[in-house]
Amino acid sequence: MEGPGARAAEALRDALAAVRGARSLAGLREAEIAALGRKAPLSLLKRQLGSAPPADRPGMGRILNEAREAIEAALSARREELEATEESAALEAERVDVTLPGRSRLPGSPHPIALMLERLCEVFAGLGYRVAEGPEVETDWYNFESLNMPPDHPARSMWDTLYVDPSGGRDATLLRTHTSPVQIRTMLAQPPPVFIVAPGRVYRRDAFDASHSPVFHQLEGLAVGRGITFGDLKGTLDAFAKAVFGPEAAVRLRPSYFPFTEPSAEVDVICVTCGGRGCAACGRSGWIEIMGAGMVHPNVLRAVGYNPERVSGFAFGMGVERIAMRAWEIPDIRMLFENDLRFLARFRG
Amino acid sequence: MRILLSWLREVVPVEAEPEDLAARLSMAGLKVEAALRTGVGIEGVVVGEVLDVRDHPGADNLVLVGVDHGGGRRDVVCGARNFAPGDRVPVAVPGARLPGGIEVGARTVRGQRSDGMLCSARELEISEDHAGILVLGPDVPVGADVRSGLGLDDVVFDVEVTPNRPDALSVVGVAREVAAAYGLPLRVPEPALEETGPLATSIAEVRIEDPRGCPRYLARVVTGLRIGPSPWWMRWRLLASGMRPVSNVVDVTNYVLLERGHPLHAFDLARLRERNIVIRRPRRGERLRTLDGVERVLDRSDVAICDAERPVAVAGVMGGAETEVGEGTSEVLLESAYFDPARIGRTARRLGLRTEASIRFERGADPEGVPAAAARAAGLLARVAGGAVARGAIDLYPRPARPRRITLRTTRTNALLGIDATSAQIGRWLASVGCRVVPGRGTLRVEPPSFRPDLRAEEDLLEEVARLYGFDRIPATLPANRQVGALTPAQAGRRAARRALLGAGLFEAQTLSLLPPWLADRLEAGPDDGLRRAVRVANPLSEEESLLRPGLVPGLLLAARRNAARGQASIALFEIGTSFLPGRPPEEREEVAWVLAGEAPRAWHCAARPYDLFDSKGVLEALASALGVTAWSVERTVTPDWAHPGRRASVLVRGVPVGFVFEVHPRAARALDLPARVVCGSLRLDGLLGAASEVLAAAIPRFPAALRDIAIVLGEETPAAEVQELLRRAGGEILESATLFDVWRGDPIPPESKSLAFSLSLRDPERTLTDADADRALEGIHEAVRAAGWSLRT
Repeated sequence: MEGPGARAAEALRDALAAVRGARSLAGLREAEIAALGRKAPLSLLKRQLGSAPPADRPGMGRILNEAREAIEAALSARREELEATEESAALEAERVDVTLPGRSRLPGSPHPIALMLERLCEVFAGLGYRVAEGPEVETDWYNFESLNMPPDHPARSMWDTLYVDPSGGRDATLLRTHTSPVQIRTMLAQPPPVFIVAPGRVYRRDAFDASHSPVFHQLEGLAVGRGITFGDLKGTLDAFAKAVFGPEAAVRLRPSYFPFTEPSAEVDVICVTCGGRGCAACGRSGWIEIMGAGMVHPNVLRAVGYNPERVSGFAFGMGVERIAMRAWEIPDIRMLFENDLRFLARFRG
Repeated sequence: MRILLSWLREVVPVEAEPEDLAARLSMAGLKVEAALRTGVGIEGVVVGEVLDVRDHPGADNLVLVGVDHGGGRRDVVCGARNFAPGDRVPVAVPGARLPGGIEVGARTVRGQRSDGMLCSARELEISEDHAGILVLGPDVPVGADVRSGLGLDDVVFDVEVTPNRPDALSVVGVAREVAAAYGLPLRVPEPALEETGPLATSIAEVRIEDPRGCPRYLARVVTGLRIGPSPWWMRWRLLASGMRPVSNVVDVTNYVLLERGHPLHAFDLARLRERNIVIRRPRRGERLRTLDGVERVLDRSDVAICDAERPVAVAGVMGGAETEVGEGTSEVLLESAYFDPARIGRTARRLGLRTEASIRFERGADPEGVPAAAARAAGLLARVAGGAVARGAIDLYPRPARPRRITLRTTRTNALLGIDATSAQIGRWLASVGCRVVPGRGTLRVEPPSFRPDLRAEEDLLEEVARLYGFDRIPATLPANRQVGALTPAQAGRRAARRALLGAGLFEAQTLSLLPPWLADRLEAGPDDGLRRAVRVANPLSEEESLLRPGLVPGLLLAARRNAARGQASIALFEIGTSFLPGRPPEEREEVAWVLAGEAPRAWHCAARPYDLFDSKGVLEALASALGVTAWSVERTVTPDWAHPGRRASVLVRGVPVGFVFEVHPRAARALDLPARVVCGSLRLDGLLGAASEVLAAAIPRFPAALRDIAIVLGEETPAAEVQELLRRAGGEILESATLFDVWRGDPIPPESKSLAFSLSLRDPERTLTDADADRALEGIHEAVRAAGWSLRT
């Protein structure tokens, strides 16, 4: 039977085959025109609908609509398929070598001395200390005399001093041999209590070798107030050692001599390499000397106008290079001043 | 100070193991740096007597020595000649072992058979002396094993003595600490003295004309001496203590110095004019040849020991060569004195002579120990050099030192140390180190011994109490501190600057603050350059470290140079630190500086290129941005003269110069073996931080901006900043920003001209700009550009 129903069914079959067979979005567009365009068989049948017997019209109309909907659904499904394929092909074409390095300027590295100074200052900031600074060219008075070292004091020979202008007695100018003048300047500028750390560069008339440098860094601390004891010094240094060297660290104070403190002590920290049993790193003693400390000498308090009967205090001072060398196993102090980029790059982060 | 254990045990009967002793001494303030066992590893080394010494036929610097070590003659080749037939020396026979595991064998040296070897002190590891063979002295038995027979099995403590404790620079002094630490008795060797013949005062005469320089002078006279080598026991103790035996008379003075810490000097009495000793200030230009052979001009501040005519010793430092004890000496004047510590210290420093004597006098000898030291030495001279000690001593002590009396408060002691001791306990501790203690009410009256110059005030005794109590027994506490730790704005700013520069990819450097003068020459710095006018250190150790840096860039250039020499192709360094400007005192500035040299970091996504000025400006921009500094600008400048003349600019913050950015002159870079393009920058940190703005939570604009591009063609000479400034003025408030994004030269731009392209952002904070508004604003800018004589590129 060659009726319109049969032709519609045939047109639908052809159209669906063309849509499903389309290989690209362009081919799909062609199939769409062929199936639904003005010249498409279904369109023709629709136009002929008016000339069909009235009783057939509703049935025929429904068949044509259903055919159209089926084709549109197939088109839409196929379009999605083809779009997905084409997009993935396009993305595939953009594939890169993911192992190539990224585009960025890497940050530089801090210098180990600056890094260590920052750490040390943070430890003491946590204990309520402020950071105080002062000039590197000092006078004889600030560097020696106010610190209980009058002219000709034998202890002056403990430091080989670089002078800028050696004349002028107490006004003679020199490169400070320690950051202790900052303690004096701070105490002269404010009444007690004083809790400060003084980081900075210091100078000695030393030739460069593995453990000496004419220029190096110190961090000194000073605590002055009512009722401060030698026990407080011990407790403070113990807290410091644990913060810097780890919770297992312990300190030991040995009697020593500095003109500006009394009692004076050398401070040892337990050797981290052997845990105090004695090894090559600590000269078999189990302890490593890290700083000097003591109770501020009454003459120093008097020199700044404090009354040693009313206030007392302690001071301590350490070589930052020495601590850094210990912490990072740096064998030679000269490495810290060569600024070799390969060395500096070790201290990232 | 080297302390021999067997000697120490003679003075204090301590049985403790050397390790324990070392630890106790360290905790008492006498740090034992090392405890060395002597004699270890010596096997089969015996005493031999030199029979004859002949030249080696095949070598000028060798001799053939015939020795007898009890088993007949043996011939040994030797490189030293410091001995003669009859001397006794250590002979290592074949099969013997020396410290360090060296085994001695028979061998042939230049055709001569050597049947063993003679040993130096260093080869036996008993001292550093390697100048010759160790001559043992006539009293050692031939054939004896040197290790067991000569007492080499011993321990030497290397004790670090602090400058306040001259008393501990002796065996007796260290023994006193041992006695206090272990609660043992002290047995100081008593001078065994037999005086004979005439009175010393009848033989010699002493006069003090400088009682301040020399408060006490005691002389003894010993006659009938026979100069020769000292006995082995004395030589061994000197050697082990680091001294070199010389002759019996000199050795005795050194022995007493080591034993009691009191320096002595022996003059050849026959050479003292008129047998006189006068202690006085030197006269102008007076000279003296000291024992070390150096001719020295004395100074008025020295203390001179003179005879009737001339100086014969620099008091407390070194004796004179003219009156030195030598082979022909038969009578000596033995000096035991006390000199002013400050004067001796000054002289020793002035002469650059630190001797065993000067170290002790400078730190303070014991004025009351003067007679005992002299008596001890005289007794030993009689014993080891056969001398006759004249009766009595010439002892001048015009104003004896009064004993010091110090009051020590028990409450203050406890309060300052954080302990809880009774007066009685404190008194006992102080008595254990020789103090006389009288208890009072809550106080102690303490008279320290004369050999403790460090105990002068209450705080000194307080330290002594802490030391004797034991630092390790004092409980650890924390002080009450109500202050909040914080950084000052300048410290926080410095930290922010560091972070910014690290973030910009630069590596932080720490260069020396001391520079060499040759740097200015290499850079061809002009006479006004900071490097030429840099502050000089008055007493530099070397020229390399003689100038205080006038800025940080030169030191960074040296660091860059070292990196370039080590093959670094890309160098980026910065430093924050102090620079010094001439002045009295020098002016100090905190500076931040950077140096970029070689290639910018190479990557696959951009072409290789050398650093140039704009990298340096980029660092500046990063820094200013991180610190919140907006009011800055740069302008061309003419300094430094070692900069590229076309690529140097001064940096201004709020119109005030605070530093520079520049490329180093290629010639200067070449002279420093640096890559051709080296760029740098330096800024005063205070100048920068002074303009830093606080963060304000400013409103984010609510209305959109209109973006327009504009390209301006103008003469090559006109700086971009000028165009920028014109745009800013012409744009008015509506022009939010003008960002330069392209610089173009060449076709189609006429020669000697350039095109600068800006991206303009126009915004009205109150409303949305219409296209018409934006075009009107742009037209105004176009007019201003044309009015400036520039043209617009379309």
